[in-house]
Amino acid sequence: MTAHSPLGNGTHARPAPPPQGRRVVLRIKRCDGPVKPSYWQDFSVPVGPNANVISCLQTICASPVTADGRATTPVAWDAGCLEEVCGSCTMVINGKARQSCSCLIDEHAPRDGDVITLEPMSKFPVVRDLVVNRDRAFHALRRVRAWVPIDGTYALGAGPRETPQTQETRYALSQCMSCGCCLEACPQFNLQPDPAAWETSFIGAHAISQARLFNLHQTGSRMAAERLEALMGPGGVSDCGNAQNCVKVCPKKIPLTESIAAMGRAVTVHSVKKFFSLA
Amino acid sequence: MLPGAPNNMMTNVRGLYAFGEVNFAYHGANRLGANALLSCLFDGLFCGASVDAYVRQEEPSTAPAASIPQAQYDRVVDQETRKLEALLGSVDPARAADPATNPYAIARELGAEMTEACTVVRREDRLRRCLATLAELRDRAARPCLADPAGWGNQSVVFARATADMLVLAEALAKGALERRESRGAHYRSDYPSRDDTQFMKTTVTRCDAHGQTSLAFEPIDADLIAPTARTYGKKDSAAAPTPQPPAPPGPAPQPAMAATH
Repeated sequence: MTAHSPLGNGTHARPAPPPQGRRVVLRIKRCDGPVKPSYWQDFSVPVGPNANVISCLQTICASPVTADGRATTPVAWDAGCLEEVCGSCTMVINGKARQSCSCLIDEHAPRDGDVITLEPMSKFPVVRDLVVNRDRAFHALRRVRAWVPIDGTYALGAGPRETPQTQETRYALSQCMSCGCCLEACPQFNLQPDPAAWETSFIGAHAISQARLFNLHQTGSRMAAERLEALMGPGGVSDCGNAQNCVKVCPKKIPLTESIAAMGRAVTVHSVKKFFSLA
Repeated sequence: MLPGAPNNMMTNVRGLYAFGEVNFAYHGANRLGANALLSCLFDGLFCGASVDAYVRQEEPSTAPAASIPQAQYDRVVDQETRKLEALLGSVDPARAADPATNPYAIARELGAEMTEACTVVRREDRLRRCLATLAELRDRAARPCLADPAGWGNQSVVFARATADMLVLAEALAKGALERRESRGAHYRSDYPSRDDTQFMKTTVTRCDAHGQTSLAFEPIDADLIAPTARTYGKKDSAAAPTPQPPAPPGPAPQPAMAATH
């Protein structure tokens, strides 16, 4: 930290200078609103050490001018925690879905003039520019009742005890932030702007894994049958095509394919029991 | 704080509660990074019942929102619409990249200035310069120039408003750091390195008036039950009374040189 640089002398505006004289090109797929046509714009952005995609987007907002010198509108994007735990800044960077806050420029564009492409996720409706509406991903969590039922009508007591083994399994699953990377990469999960169709279209790896997480919870397992029913129906676990892309792109390295296998088995057992009126 | 009392952690707006990280409570002078969980958990556990009590006993049942005159709502809607229209009216793509009036550029300067003046080590002259810079930034932020005329997904409008709020908070922080002429907890003044309980064992209260002007006051802290002592984190104690030595093993007494290393 430079403690006494001539900052803030209170006399004139100071444009943020790049600490090193390197620039990268952000090639951004833009869109002015829902169902409006997309277009590409290039921005030449000065980058310093530790710059990430978000800081570059902020730089663009501070000076909304394209690489060929035309004035334009600031790029819109979503962001929350800026530490890769909330998932809201997920976008397609150089063709791969990931969080933009943890995407460091030095890793993805190490040389002067390198190009980084930014696109909104294609499996969700675009709100504007890089902002998408991920309602369907959250709707999927409601389909599988991805919560522990506590309605305050009975005393929970000391709470259930958990073995270290279950805890270890559940911890990995609990890191899911519903960012949508697994859905963007999934060939079975496709853009569906009509909410009426969400109930029967493929639910996605994240929701299957969350159903497993809460079925492994002792209080949550009270709704295990309801979750399995949701996964038995159309758009449930049998719609998975085993492409295994989800587990490759998951930023939290959640064993999504293991969850899909585990829930596939649980659904089969449940349906057999149900056939003999045992469930 | 009586458990379940409706006023626990209620703000000066009736029915609006400040739970969790938005309030300063419980940590005093030290709220180290990542410790927000304490206030979140404690407020939920201890003060959640207060909301329940408020809903059951207080105004919501006696003065429902529907009984508030429509004019009161309209006034607020008008006020906010005027703010929005003023911001949208400032749109000028030709001037939008000018850092003098671009909210993102102003926010960046604000961040750089606060990082330099108001983080770990604070000093009177630097804080005074910081306040001068903040006044200049507030002046610029009050007449922003935006680049986006859209009525949909317009993030720069939101950001311009947030920047104005950040500047109020920044000024409160810098003024508080300037007026607290002592070091306490995470507040370290290189020109006043020691704690001064006689003058400053107080809570800093900053008020922001309708025009965005901040004013500072100190409220005494009630310490009748526990006498405040110096926080040495064990350092002074260990110097005054060295940790007891393990019982000497049978045989020759330990060498003085060895004892000195303990």
